[in-house]
Amino acid sequence: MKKYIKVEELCCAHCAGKIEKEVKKLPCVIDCSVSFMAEKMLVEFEDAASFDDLFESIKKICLKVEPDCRVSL
Amino acid sequence: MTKRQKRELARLIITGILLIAAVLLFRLLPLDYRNPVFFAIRLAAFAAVFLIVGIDVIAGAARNLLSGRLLDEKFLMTVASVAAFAIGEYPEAVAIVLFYGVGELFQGVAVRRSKDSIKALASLRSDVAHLRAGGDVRDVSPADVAAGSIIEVRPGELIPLDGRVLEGFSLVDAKSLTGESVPVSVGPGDAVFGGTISSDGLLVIETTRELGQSSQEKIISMVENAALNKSKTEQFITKFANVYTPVVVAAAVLIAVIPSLITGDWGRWLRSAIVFLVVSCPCALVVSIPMAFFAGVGKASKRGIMVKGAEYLEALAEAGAAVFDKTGTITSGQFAVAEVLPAAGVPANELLANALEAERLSNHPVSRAVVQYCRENKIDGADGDDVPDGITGTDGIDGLDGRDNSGAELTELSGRGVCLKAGDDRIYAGNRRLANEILRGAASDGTAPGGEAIPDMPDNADGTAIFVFRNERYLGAIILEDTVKPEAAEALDALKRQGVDRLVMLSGDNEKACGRASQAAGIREYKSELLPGDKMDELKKILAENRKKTVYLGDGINDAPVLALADVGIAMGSMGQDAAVEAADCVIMNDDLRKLPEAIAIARKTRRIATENVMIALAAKLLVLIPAILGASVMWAAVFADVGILIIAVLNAMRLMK
Repeated sequence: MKKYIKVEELCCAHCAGKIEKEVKKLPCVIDCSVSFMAEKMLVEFEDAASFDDLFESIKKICLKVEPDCRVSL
Repeated sequence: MTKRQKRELARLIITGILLIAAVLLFRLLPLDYRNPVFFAIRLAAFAAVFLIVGIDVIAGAARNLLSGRLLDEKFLMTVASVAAFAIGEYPEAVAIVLFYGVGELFQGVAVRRSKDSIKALASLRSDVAHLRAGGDVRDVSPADVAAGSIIEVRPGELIPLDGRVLEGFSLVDAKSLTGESVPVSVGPGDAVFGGTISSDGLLVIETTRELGQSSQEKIISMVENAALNKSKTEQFITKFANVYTPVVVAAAVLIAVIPSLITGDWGRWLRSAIVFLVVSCPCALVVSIPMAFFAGVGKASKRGIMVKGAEYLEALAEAGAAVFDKTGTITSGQFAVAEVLPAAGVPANELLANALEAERLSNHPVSRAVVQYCRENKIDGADGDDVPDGITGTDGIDGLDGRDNSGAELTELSGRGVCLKAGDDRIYAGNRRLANEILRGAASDGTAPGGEAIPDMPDNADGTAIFVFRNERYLGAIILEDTVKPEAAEALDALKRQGVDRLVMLSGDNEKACGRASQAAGIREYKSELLPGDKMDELKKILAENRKKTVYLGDGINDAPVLALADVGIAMGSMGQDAAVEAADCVIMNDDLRKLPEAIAIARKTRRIATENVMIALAAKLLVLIPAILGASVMWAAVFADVGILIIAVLNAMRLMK
């Protein structure tokens, strides 16, 4: 399954890359792309996974890399 | 600017003023800083100024350190400024965090502005919809209008949502969607698209989609989402940044330690090392590529070319071969007479005059094409307007009911053709089924004469053939074909000039039809009579032979697998067709072939600008690093290098928008 997540107020493109790298490491994530320009993330994950749990994990990663960013659906 | 950015700006300005004040103050005061008291005062003053901005940097660095990430910009800036304090360069220490802050701020503002201007490019959003509800008209936000609602669109307004016209007529300009200003007249029953402009009449529209699904929203989100489908260059530079930062930091450490141990001059080498730390931040480098592609995708969408990923824009720039579907892509779907094949012993004029007589009153597109051809070729009876005034042998036919005063009568034989009864004669014009019926003497209306065999009846598999009989006598056939788009030759010529050397047309149509179309369009290579599976095989062959990227252009409806197979699959003429938009990598909204060379030109310009941006960024960093090793005091230049590069990258990307 694929979902778009808004990731706003990232400070730089490099942070977007770091978030992308971290999210890709999550067990149920197949692929992830974060665009600094679009302020969006596209995450592809296994159908069996719970999106709510995944969303929480992603939110945690984003806030860890970039404490000031806003993550929403 | 957002509130946060304004606050940040205020903080930076205060820091800047205090920094200048502190520098001037301590330079003017005749104090001896070898005195521990004065030394401490000066240090404390600069440290205080430093902390106004620096506190966040240090806090961020500490947080990252705790989560195990060493090579974070904030950490590097902290190390650089602490090192500057250590060697007594207090103003430089403050400058590092100050310029770092300015850089971050500028980056945020510049990116936001470029994003906004790209979004505004399309300017497809309407703020208001005039909703009709309970006899009232209320102004509401388009987001609040459910599908199936009734809205009014006044002259000159943007149509806010996709819908169907219930009442009213207007000219609708789809420039914002297709990039071309070609007003289309719409009336009751016609579909209209969100983001187009109704220019004259008042329209009452029943909405068919909510805002989220409306055409203009799809385009906007497609432009944004294109950024998520990253170009190879961007992926490369992201990887490069992951190596770049550790290497530069390692170099900084080596420069700080090794020469200092040898020469014992720690201050000199530490100063060089700090410059390395400052330029180790890869941000400007990393953002310069997606910035260019974002602008390129935005520009393309403004021209009615929707690109679904930076990846595809990049591939378009490398196009070396273009493969086309015939029907609807090279040809327009409009019929025209391609060949006139009179039977043996029948003059062409006689065949045409009879065909004209029979077809004159029919509104079928095929009939119109025959009439048009006869008019162009000055066949007797083809002058004048559509209401017949002098068909040979039948005077004064009374127009639409197909019956004249003297009893000439037109019968539409559904799915087969027409039969005109004029006096004792019957003229038949129709397809092969009708011809076969006539030959068997069994036309279902019982009027068929039964006739002689046709020795040279052409076998036309795909083009439309009209067979003409006068009573039982076969007069010949007229072959009609889809006409080649008028701009085809120009577009393909432009492609050749762009170095797209191999142009191929693949079609399910027969050999003759393809030969004619390819000649008219200027495509030398074509394959005819292909089944859908054959098209795949042909494209695979071309893909294998072509070292550069291969583009496939089709209508996107029946060739989805082929679209998917090509490096870049482009669907054309697909406004409002979800299936085509889904299948393609790129969508050309109208059906103008010239959009393909235009898309390639935009792609190439985008790629050039992206490359320039990377080169400039790397060059600027090198230009700072080399004098830094040599011992020049280039700290200020170093801190500006990052910001300056970003300004250049943004301005350069904005050139695409023109």
